[in-house]
Amino acid sequence: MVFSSLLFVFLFLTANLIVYFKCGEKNQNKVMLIFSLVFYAWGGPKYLVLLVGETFVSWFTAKKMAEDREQYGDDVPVKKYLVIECVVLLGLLGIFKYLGFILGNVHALTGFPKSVPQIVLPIGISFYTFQLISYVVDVYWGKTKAQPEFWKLLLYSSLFHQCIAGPIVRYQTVADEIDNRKIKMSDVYTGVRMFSLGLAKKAILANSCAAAADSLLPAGVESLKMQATCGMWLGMIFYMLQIYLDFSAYSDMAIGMGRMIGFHYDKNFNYPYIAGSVQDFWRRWHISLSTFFRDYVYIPLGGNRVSTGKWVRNMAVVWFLTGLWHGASWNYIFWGLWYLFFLLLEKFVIKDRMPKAVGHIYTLIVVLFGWVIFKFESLKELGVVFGGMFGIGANGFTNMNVHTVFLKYIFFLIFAIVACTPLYNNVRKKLFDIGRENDTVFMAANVLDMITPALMLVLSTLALVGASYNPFLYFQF
Amino acid sequence: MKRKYTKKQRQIIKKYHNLGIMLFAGVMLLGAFVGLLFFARPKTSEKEKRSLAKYPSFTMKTFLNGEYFSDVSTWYSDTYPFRDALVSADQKLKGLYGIESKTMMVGEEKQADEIPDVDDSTEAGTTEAATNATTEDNTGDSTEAGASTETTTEKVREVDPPDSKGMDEEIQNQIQQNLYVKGDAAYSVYYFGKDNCTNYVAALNNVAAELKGQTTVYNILVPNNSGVMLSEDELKKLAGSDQEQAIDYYYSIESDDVKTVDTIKTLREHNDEYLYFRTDHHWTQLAAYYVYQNFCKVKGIEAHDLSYYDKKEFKNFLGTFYSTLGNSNMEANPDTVTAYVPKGTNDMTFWDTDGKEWNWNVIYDVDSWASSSKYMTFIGGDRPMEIIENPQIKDGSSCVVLKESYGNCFVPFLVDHYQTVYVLDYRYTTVNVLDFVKEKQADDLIIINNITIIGSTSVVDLISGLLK
Repeated sequence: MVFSSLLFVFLFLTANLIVYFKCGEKNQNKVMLIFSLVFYAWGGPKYLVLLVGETFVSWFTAKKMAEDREQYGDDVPVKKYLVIECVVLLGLLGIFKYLGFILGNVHALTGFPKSVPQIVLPIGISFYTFQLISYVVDVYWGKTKAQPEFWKLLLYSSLFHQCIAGPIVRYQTVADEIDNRKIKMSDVYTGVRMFSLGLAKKAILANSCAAAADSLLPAGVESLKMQATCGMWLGMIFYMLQIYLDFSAYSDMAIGMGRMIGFHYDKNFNYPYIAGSVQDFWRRWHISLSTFFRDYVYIPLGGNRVSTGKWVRNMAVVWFLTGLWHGASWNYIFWGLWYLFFLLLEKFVIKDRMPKAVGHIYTLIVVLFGWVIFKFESLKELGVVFGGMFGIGANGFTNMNVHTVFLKYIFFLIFAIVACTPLYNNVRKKLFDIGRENDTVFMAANVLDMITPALMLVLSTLALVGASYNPFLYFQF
Repeated sequence: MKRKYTKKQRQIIKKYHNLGIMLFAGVMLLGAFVGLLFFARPKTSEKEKRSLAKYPSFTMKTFLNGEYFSDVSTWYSDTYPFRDALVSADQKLKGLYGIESKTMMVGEEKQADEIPDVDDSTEAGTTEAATNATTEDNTGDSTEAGASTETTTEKVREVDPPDSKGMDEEIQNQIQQNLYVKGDAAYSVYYFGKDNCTNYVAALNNVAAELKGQTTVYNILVPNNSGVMLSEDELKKLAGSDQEQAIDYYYSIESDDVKTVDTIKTLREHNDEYLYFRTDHHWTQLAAYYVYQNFCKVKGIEAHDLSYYDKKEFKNFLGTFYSTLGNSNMEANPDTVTAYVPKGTNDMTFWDTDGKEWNWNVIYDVDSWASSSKYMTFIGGDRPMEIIENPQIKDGSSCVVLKESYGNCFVPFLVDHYQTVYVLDYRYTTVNVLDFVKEKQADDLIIINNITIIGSTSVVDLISGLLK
């Protein structure tokens, strides 16, 4: 089930909230667990075994660590449990996500094995694997206590807010709130607002960007070759907007739903497209993933407190893994290495010498071409678009089809770009600021706050119904 | 920066936030409630001309792999109550996204094949086509799956109609590949494909040879609106293939057994008249009339004057181009369907895809039908089989028309020339056309198609299968 579907909003979430607020504090965790398991099972009940199994291994290894330490003191070696955890979880991730890719490459090189198995990627495995590993490692490091009850750890790993599309919430962030959370009306409001804005961001903005990007960058080498240079640029700009609006909308919805019931998840995106450098971009983009690699890979490898050579190695490892995490295909690895290149360039060559304005433009261009690499798993298509954007092999500079799309979306495009900046939030804050002294502005700000969630929900509903609009030439009754 | 509010201000903020939560909850509950009104869930969409998703049936397999639940999700949103109204509202909003310019290109350009020169390749083309015809026999053809193995030609072999939904979608892509929009009219750009051309002609040559001496085969290739209605200058800008050249080439590689009927040259001479709809991809019956005149010349009979027929008008037609584009200029100026009722009879019979028989009218009164459905006035729309018996003619003459929807408005003109007109839509028919023609001992087999549609490989494969 996806958040941006009518079934989720009007059936699942509505039922979840009604039951949650009616069932009494004692049962709330159980309610969330049951709903989460149903939610996960919606994508194919058989993978529920995997989620429950991995959670069990994590719960068991962490519990063992805690017991050993309690029995024999803190110095007792418990690394074996950590090893078991990592082998099992990363092993399963490897099998389900990367085995097909690895065998495909081996097959291409050696012709063996004869047929490459098609393994279906279980929903959310990349996210919950990382969440569970972070939990066991944190217990190992003594940063957090082991959860004594299995079902509560399962609640953490399967919680439908973040289980299938992030953010990667650390166990320590919510450890306390699993047992003690207070529902404050201000939290509920903030949650409702974040959720509804996220839903609108996805259903209206991201989906429309996707429609425009798909029409400009149709699948297949032959179709792409028929596109003009301007069409490719416009298509990639729409894709760049789509991917941020889509992904951050999911995080907003997750964080919002958490807030409604008293969970405080950390921010996952902080307006990445206003970044002044590539390094800055990665502090703002998918923060929960970058901090995961920072805390569990980069720093254990020595971080930056090592020789330059080793530091470059550490960076290379992190960026190779970041690329690989996004998908089992070479283009994602190239995408990670693309960023490695620019991060090293900033560190050793550019340093702080770039003027601010230039920095922003440079960052956007690096990110845009990064998305070109990211978008096309087929290296042939990637080649066509990369070349075409520089006029090589494209079907002319521009044409009427591109103008039509551009004009058709011109106001939308401006709006979508503004939606990637903090403008709305700043204006809202400003209104409340002025409102302290000015009653009219104060009322306006309050009314705006009051209608925003309901209005966003109505508009999103229209967009979600409209999304399945599929007219036929001939009657298909 | 820490903001400080007075106590009263804090209370107001709290109050409005609580109101905001209640409003949100209200909309959510309303949405949930409407979603539960199962009786109000639509089954079809007039607007989209399609059946909406059905509630999936439960199987263990689809349950375990998640397909069942994903279909439930699709069903829930596809049949959400008040769908058509909500979709319209959403389209109004999307209209605010930007500017609808007067001239637009919607879709994607496609690589067209070069149209070979008629004079040079006549010989080569025919041989190539002929060769193709023989090799074609060996290729597995889905339409033959249901063919009986009996070799007696007296018996009509049954065929399984193809997955018509998939077929329609391909046709749709073909027609709407790239649309040129000018004011309140859209024009579909044509792209020539050499292989499909050769194979199509081969199939026709094949059936003409097979029926030689018994049934005359006519091939009518109808251009689409851009080729007829746009000026030479505009056509050049569109970067598609030249339809006149293409039709000439198709006709040039046909064997002498196939009679060809000129279309595009005549239609272009009349292109200041209402020959094509502006909001729909079909031609008008007036255009079909001019082609009917040409057909009569080739057949050697006299065509009736247009004034011979009773005329009916159905206003407010917003067709397929409008459904796709939602263009406001079109909405402000809908098309009118003018239909000419045959003199001999207006009665007919058709069989639907479930095999059910319907008594209908050649020109049906669609005045009260949805604005998207007005072209349905002609011969009951696209059906597996339609039969029109003219009681005024008793000479035993008959013809079989093999067609897609372009043929619908052409058929009424044939009614006054044959005792029986059989109409088969190749997308839905369940009989082998060659056998059918032989069994009915038809005088003429008239194959009438829009040039864009026979540019689809699966359509050509399908027709080839039905004609052998």
